[in-house]
Amino acid sequence: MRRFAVIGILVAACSGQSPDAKLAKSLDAPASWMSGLAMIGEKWSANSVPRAYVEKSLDAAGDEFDKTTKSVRESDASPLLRNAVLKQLAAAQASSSSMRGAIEANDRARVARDSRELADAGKQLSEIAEDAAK
Amino acid sequence: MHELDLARDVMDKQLIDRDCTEMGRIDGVLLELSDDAPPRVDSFELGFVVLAERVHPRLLALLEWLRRWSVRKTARQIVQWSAVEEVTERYIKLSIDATETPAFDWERWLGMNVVEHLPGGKEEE
Amino acid sequence: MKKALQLALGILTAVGGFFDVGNLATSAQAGARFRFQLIWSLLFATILVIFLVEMSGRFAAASGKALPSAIRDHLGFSFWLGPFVILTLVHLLVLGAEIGGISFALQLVTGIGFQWWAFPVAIVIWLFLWRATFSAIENSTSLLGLITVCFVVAAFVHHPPLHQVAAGALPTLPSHDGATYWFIAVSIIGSVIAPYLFYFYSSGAVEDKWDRSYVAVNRGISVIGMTFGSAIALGALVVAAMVLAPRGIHVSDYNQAAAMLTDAFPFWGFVLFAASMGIACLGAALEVALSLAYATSQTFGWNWGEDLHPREDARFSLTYTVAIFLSALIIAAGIDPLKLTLFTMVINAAVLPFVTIPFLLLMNDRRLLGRHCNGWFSNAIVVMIVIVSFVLAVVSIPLAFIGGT
Repeated sequence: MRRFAVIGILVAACSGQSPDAKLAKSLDAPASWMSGLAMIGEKWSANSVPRAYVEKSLDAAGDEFDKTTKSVRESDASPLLRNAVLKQLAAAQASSSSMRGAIEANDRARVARDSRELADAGKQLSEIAEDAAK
Repeated sequence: MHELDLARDVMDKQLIDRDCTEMGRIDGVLLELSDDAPPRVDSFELGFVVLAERVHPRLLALLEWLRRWSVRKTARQIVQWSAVEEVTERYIKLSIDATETPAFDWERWLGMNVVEHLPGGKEEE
Repeated sequence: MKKALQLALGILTAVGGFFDVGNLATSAQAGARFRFQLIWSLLFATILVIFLVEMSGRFAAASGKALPSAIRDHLGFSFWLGPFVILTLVHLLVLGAEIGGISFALQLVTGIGFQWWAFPVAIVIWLFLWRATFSAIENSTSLLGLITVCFVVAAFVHHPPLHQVAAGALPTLPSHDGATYWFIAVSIIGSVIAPYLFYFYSSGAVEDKWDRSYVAVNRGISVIGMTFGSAIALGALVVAAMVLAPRGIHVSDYNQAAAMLTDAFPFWGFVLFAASMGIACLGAALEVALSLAYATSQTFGWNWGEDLHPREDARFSLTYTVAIFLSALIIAAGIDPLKLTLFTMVINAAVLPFVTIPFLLLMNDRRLLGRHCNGWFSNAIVVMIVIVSFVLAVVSIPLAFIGGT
């Protein structure tokens, strides 16, 4: 019985968060994916990982970006925050689709550039999330 | 003759047969009560139904219902105490052949109907 | 001389068998998110698991009984039924997580989605158990499992700041993401003190026909084997802290961790990661599937033994068969293997009381163990483990909801 009470209190504590803080919490996975893709792209350029792996990662990351974009659009958070987040998500989506094409074309220079852009987007998204959580 | 603690040394104990094959555990103990003598251990029982009875009547009902699909001939296998040959810390040894008893009905059925049909399930040696 | 060989082989088995999907996932997450700050929970769990593994081996050597068997013998069926059912369900989840790990490793090398690998992997695990003997399984997977030492080597290649690593050995409060911090701390403990370990170790001791002369060998195996095993998990944590944390990668998916060895080994790193993951999980999957069959057969007193032909213990062999394919279903359904692993590790921690309380009762049975009973010190440790596991059980379930990633 006590265990359920603890769960109840914690669930209540969670649902009591402000919409901004709640949104910030959901940005962890997409930000991690942006940084992850940046590393994976960089490693592909250095010939350290196979192409199939990069493509699988691009698929999984793309799903995560789509999911987050949808939930950000539906969120009650402040428009300022939502727009800032959507901007980074759009940038990441653009860079990752560019990376997909570049890998197909075996264009290492472009993959390296897309990686830097993704790393940037990831860093900015984390900063946005950190500020919003405060 | 040394002392035997019924709950500690008999109940739930591993049974092995005369060839040392594991044949189940003592799931229940039956006592013989009479007016002029102290209770005496008569026999013990083996079977899922016996176990279920110990846990909850509803579990027993469920198992009795499930028995329509069971290949086991008798739900409660009763073993006479006189079949006991040896009692040790690890097991109770019986003087019977387990593979001929209901305790091995499922084992035999699964061996013949499932294991035999899986690759490598036939005895090669 | 024979004992020395046994000791060496046992240590090898313990090292090879220690590291599995749970250790990999929790170490990678801990290092990536909190750098060296969670090393304490790995060390703490390792000390506890050394004590518990030593006891389960000593118990088997002194009494000739494996744990599930002894629990039913001495504590009775009604006491054991609940924990038995719950632990069986947990073991199915753990087996699913291990199958997920192997399938994901295959996805890394082939590019074919992990869910398509679930059943082929299940068939391989099953064939291993169906055809091989206990010692063949034990020795081959533990030898191959030594490939995971690459995490330790990689950790040294990175020259981690040793004072920070040492500072992580002392528990500190997190500066950010408190719920996630405790979630990972609990999942590390659940991954190290996995309940199947004790069933497997004690049943293995019975399969290897240990007697009281093995008590000393057992002590050596558990202390040295578990320590080295945990060093591999520590290696993975350090590599994640050096490679993933600075880049802001939090490992919300196994893919994000897969390139973590390529900084240290640019050419071989990726293959080493996939191979380590695949082999470590394969070894663990075999152990979990066997543990499940051991526990079931011993609970009902069926004839059991991995060295018997499946025809001679049909119920035992079919128990692991069914378990392997049920668990493969979870992965074939497309459930994310990393999420499944982290969730399962927390559940592992939550069910610890079911493992530790019977331990406390059995290890003090003088009629069973004679002079190999627990002393006051070991008892004090187990009492502490019981208390810790109760606390974990209470906090881990809400943590799984709010701290999960």
